Amino acid sequence: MLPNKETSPSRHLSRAIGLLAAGFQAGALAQQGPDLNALPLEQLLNLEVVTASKIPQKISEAPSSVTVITAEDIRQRGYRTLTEVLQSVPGMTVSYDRNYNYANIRGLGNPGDLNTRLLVLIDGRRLNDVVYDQGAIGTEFPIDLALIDRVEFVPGPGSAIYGSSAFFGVVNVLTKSGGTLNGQTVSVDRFTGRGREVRNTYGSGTPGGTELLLGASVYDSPGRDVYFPEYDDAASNHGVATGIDYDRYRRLFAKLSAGGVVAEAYFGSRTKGIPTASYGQQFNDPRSWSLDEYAGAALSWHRAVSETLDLFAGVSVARYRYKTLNVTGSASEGPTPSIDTAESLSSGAEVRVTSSALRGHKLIAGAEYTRDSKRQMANYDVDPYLLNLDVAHPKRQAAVYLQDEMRLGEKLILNTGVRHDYDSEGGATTNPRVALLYKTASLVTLKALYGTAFRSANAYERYYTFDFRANPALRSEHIKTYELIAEYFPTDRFRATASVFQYRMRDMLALATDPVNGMLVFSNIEAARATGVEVEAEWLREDGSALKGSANVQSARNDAGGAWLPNSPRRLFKLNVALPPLGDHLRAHAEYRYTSRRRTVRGGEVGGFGLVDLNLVGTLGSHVELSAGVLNVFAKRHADSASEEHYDNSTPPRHLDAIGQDGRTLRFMATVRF
Amino acid sequence: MMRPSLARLLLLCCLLPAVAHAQAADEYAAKAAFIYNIAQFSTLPNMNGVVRLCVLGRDPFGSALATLEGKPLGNARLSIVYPHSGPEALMQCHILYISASESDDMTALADSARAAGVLTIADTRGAARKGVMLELVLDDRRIAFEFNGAAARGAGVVLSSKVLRLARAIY
Repeated sequence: MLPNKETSPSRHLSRAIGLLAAGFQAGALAQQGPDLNALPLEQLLNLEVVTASKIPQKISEAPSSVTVITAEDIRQRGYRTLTEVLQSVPGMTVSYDRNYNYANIRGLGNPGDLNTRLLVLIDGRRLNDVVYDQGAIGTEFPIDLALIDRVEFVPGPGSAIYGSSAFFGVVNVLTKSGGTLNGQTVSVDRFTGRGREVRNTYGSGTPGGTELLLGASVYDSPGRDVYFPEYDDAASNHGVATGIDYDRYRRLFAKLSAGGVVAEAYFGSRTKGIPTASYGQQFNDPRSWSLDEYAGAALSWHRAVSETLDLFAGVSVARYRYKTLNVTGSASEGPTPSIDTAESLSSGAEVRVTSSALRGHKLIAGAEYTRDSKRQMANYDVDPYLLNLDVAHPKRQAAVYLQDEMRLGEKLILNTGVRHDYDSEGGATTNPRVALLYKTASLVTLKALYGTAFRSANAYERYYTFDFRANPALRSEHIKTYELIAEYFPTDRFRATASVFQYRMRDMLALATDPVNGMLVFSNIEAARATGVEVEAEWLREDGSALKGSANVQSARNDAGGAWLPNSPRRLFKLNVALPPLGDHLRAHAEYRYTSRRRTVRGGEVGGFGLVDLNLVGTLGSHVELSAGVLNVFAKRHADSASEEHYDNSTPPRHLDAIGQDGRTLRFMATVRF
Repeated sequence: MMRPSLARLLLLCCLLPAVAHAQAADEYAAKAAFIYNIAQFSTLPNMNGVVRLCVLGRDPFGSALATLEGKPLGNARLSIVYPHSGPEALMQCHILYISASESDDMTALADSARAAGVLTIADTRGAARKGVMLELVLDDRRIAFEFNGAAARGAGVVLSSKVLRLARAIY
């Protein structure tokens, strides 16, 4: 069985800190230069300066607690997936079932829920599809990380701005502009387990002028052999899934911008082998896989009409295709393949007006219309062909919203917002948001936040009938959140925040058994709440080093009976350390993440664990960059909770309780710039 | 296969500090030196023995400004002050650096500083057009500046022509 013993985070931590101390010492010595104050003006103006890193100003006035991960963070830390980016966010853990990644935010988020309560945006536009509401954060996320300018994460409800699914939080991935990338780069990457990736980017133009950005990448990882103790017997290859953990993707991106007009398009197609035998499959059958394919295009126009008036308009289209081959049926009769598919196609238009013409107010008003013309699910047996399910339920959505940032004197800002959503299937809903910000004299800002959000039941929950009964009458889920934040932000290089939050959810969708026919059916039955404290501090030191840490203590419980929610850690601790530049050409970064023990969906437990990742980035001349990383340096054994669908085709089915995660992993990336 | 390469990587980590060496100037160390230089070439109203250089809002300079404390400025000495509000700053300061955190109030601050005879400096984009006397900008990794002559005249602040001819733009 998996180790359930709680590990003290301090042991790993002290090892990591010891390793880093030497580096800091060296950095301090490197900080010597001429006395700038003695230089004449002409020389001073000719001096090349290094732009200091700053914590973005506006974070402080945001009506929420925002986390920003920049392109430079991604480069220094060697991140390769959106999951890795999100794992560094305070309060966030991401579990993995060797097919999809599932976010847990401040204690909330089930394994297996496909991130339906996390809204993922690409340049402000929705990526979550309209069949499953799936928020892609793993290798199926269609944008290469080298093309990302920054990732912004806002915990808490975002429905007052973004509508459905902005439930536990919003991830906005903002892509670079062609001018910042200027030139062509080719990267060749290698990963433990013979994983390979080739990436190509091209950027041209000057910032603000005509800019072009192109990107293409191909990834192929054969994966590891994965052991599942629950399946360990002689008939099931002793619980080892061989050669089925493979992961492959192709990605394309293009963005052209000129004078406020931006056209962009993306495509990403990922195929993943399924080693867990999920949904009653034959274990260790090499045929089982899933395909996730995202494609989207958008055209937008933005113009600052005057100093106080800003206009934005855009149209977009997004497509998602899902296909999976499952090998089901009892082993004695010979298991047979069946195919499950989903198609989602949405097109929409939006307008937004920002005005600061009214003194002391900043108003944002907007409207959106979306037509989900394709919203289809099907399931069929391959041989002999038998159609088990084929349903299509297109729908329409429209929304209007208004926000106001009102300055009440020098010290007080009242930020209010409200959005009204109409959904041809789920009906109408209105979600408000209120934030009161008070700037004290001592550079401390106090914030009080209240907001609500909703998630409209998706097509899968309403209409999927292969294994269970449809329930088209499902209502939307609702959440209310309260949060108090104190922020100390004295200089551009230091910031500390403490936050107390409570999230209250009702009408949550969960599977129940129909009393009449005994079939499983989704129903609005659950209510739960999460309460916790989050503290965070960030310090950008003058020698170029940086420290960022966060800690959470939280509790998420079901309202009925008070049961501890599955997959919900009660304590989290994160530390990111960027060492001072080691000469002009080398940067080192270390990351520590501690997750306390968690309940599994089946009522067991997975133990707490602390992981250390290291990354080193160096440049050779002006054309070559090398990046080397070690993930899980101390090869700490750890596991995530499995979910309801992780059972095989045995009679009775064998359920997985936990899914083992990767040990030590190495990666090397070489990039050539032309 | 994995262990030797990990060991090599860690070894590399430990050896690297040995090759570390000095780097280009820090942006705010250079900006602090620039402000000191400008102060030497300016005639400011209301000076008597001490010139107070103030930072209003979030301080981006780190330790760079501390090196200017007590520095000679003609017959006077420079003193660094951190006022808590705009009105407090206008009562005390001769030179006022307005931080980016105060950018929403930039125009109002610039106007009242002009009336109070205070030299204003900022490095937020468009500050000079909003009435701030000196705007520091980064141009191709070098410091440049724009000057608002009308605002300086209004305040009775005189900058040497030696400085003005280096300005990127004058309003």
